[in-house]
Amino acid sequence: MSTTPKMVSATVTTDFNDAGSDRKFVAGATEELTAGEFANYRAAGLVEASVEKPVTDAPSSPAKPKRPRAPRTAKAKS
Amino acid sequence: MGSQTAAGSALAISAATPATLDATGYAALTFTEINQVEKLGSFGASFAKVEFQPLKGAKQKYKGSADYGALQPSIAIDSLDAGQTILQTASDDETQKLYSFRVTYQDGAKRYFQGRSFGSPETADGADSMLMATPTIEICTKVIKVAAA
Repeated sequence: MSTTPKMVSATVTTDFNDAGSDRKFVAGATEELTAGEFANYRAAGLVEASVEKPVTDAPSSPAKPKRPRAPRTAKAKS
Repeated sequence: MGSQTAAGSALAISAATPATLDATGYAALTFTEINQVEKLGSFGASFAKVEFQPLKGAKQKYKGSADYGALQPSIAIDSLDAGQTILQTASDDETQKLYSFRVTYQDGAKRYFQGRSFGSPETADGADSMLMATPTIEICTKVIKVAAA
């Protein structure tokens, strides 16, 4: 039985290489790591968990403020 | 495989500790290889010798407490290597945290254990030599031996 390892999205904080996997990591990049890789790299301060943007229903730009209504004036009778 | 050379042997470290102190527990961990290892040195358990000399008869010898030994690899410093960085973190760690280690031999046989790094002095020798680190990893658990598959 094979199981898919749980992946963690991580931000690389400093350039580093992994000799075992021959992978090279560049600071600032976002990488998908197994939970075990992430734990090891984070313990050494090489990566940190990527902060996901919170999903909200709010629109991206704020709503325009309502223009104040002008008081009604009686129409002039012809 | 019978005899083999040390070439191809590897040392790896994990910040995690196994759920069980056996081959299965260690195999479940993710290890990060430590690059640029020149020598691993000797490691393994030894026992204190307890002696008793009776008035009659030969000296009696008993096995006392076990000491799982220490690993003292020599490593050419590579500041970009993840495994070396984790080992340096273990050396700088002022807590009693245990780190897991895996030694893999040329034929695939493995040795697992947990330990604490008691420092990693750096050596800058002559001009025609590499900058080296010689950490001392005191082994704190029984060394689990796994034969090559």
